[in-house]
Amino acid sequence: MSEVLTEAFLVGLLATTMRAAAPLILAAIGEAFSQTAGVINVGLEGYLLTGGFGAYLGSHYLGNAWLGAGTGMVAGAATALLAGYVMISRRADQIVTGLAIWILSIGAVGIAYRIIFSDGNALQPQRVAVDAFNEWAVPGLSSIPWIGDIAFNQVPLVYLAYLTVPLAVLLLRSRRGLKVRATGESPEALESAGGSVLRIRYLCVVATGALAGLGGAYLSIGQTDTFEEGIVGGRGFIALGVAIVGRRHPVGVLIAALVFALAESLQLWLPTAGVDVPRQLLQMLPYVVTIIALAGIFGRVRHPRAFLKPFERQA
Amino acid sequence: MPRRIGKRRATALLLTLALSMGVVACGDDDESASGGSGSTSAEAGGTEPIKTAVLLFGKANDLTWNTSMADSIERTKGDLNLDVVSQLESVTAADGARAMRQVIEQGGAELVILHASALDQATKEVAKEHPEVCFVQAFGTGTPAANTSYYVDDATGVNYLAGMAAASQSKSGTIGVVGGVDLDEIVKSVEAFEAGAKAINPNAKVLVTWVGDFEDPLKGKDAGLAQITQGADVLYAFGDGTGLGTVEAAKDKGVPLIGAWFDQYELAPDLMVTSFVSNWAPLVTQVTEKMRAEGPETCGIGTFVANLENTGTSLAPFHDFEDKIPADVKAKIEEAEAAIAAGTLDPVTGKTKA
Repeated sequence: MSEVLTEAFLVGLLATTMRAAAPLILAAIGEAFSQTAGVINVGLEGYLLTGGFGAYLGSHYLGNAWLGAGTGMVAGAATALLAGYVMISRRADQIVTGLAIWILSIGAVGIAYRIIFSDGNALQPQRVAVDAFNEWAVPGLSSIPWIGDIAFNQVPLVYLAYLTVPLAVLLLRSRRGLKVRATGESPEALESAGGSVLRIRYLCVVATGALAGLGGAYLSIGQTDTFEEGIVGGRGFIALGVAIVGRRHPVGVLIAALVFALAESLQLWLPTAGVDVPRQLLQMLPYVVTIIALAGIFGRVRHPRAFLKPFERQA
Repeated sequence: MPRRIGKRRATALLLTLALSMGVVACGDDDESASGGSGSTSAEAGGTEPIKTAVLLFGKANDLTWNTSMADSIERTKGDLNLDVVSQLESVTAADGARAMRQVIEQGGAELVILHASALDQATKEVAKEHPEVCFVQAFGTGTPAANTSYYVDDATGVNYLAGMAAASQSKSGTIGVVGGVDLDEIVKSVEAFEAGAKAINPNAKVLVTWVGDFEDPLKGKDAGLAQITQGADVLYAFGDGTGLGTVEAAKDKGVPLIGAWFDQYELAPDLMVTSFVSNWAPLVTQVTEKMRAEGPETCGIGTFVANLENTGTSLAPFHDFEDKIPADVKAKIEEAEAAIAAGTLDPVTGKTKA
């Protein structure tokens, strides 16, 4: 076991955990607000995918990773807006809508990818490298021993992901945060006080999409310069779990995302440390953590009173 | 060893051709017309063209398993006079039989290649209904029918050679392997890779990480970076889409790497030592020759095992590493290649057999 506890191993493991948590935080933090307002985004996996593809596309045409991140956010938000229209305005079942949006995203991205990158003559996409993010060492902070290598030598999107946590805490504590909670707990009371349930739900869902789109941008152009149709790989569903296990609170989301990311990173780091763990066990790790979390080991999660319930204005 | 430059464009053209022919074949009136043009080229080639359909497990551009078949057909169809009437992607077990009947009954396919193990049952069923059609099935189980051939790949030999090449480029003696999904045959190939590395450097340490996914470049990159941190100075990207991330890790740190399933030189020209390449041309050639000689009813050639001996698997050229691999290592690789082909060296254990 001595090889496990080397400095390089621990620093490396934690640095991997730090960045693996970033897309989960980005996808889950908006989702926490959305669920607090009574709307679950089962299609989060789809928001990440359209966001990831939107970012790849943006970076390809605009030649800049930052602009790509912007188009990724727009793509994620647009997908969420569509889901929101069906769930909020058309009052459709949220779970079914979410699954439909997820499947629609896979199909739409698959077709768009084929048409756009097929060299104009066949549905045969070419692999095109685009501008991607590079690590940016934070001046000063990155030279702190251990901490610098773990936290302050990442790509900018990782810093952005962690920045959303304190911002979300502030928002939750503000008057607007109170309105979001009221929307989920007693939408009628909010309406009679002059607020708009639909407006707040739309804002929450679209913001979830935009943030997930940024998470998707991290998946496609954050670490690599290429796009794969399977890049999301279940992270949207894990993020749903993160939002719930994290009790729909930004700090809870942060902790839950880090726990999941640690399980994922152990899978990648343990085999390099000379520890003879069966590979099947390692690959199970992230899923075991998911099941433990969802089985309510960390306590039961109370849902808002109007959770999953469409709102209809009294005439 | 086939050069792979321009392969993607070639497959793209093949697909266009397949699509347009599919459209042609769909119209009843046009069928005779396309048959007419076929006989013209038959006079030129001396043989009747064989209408061929290819059903793929995944996407033809995956640059691995599926590309290996699409590319092999593309390279051989001229010489073998194959008329590719359709190439279907992502065919699942559920719609396999329907897809086969469609390409046979509407597309007029005489040779159907099923590049997906999941289609085994459907093939058995449809092959019985259509004894006049020749079937070629990946990883078929049991004894193939008279009009059916099975094929498997044995990539252990070529991975042994890849391991030798990798070890020759490692100064630290630590080599990292990032695998996608730990399928039995891939695990065996990794064991052979390790045995090959140890044949060059008996003290070589091979770190193996299984990501559990073929399409997660992010994890593929982090797994590669972890291995580099832990001393690996050569990486083996053995994970399809996941492997693309491993290539990124190698590029970030300037570490040489080995590619899988096709010549991945273009992905990282300065760093790609070599790749293992799958080539189905010998399979397609053997089947079509038997089909032309004896007719489709008895076109089956049993089970074809792609290996070093029949060039079904091979090591890609060293490209930029041609001069960096010591002459004695090259000699040892050639020696091992001959020994594996002759059956005197077991690539998985690295032990010599009598």
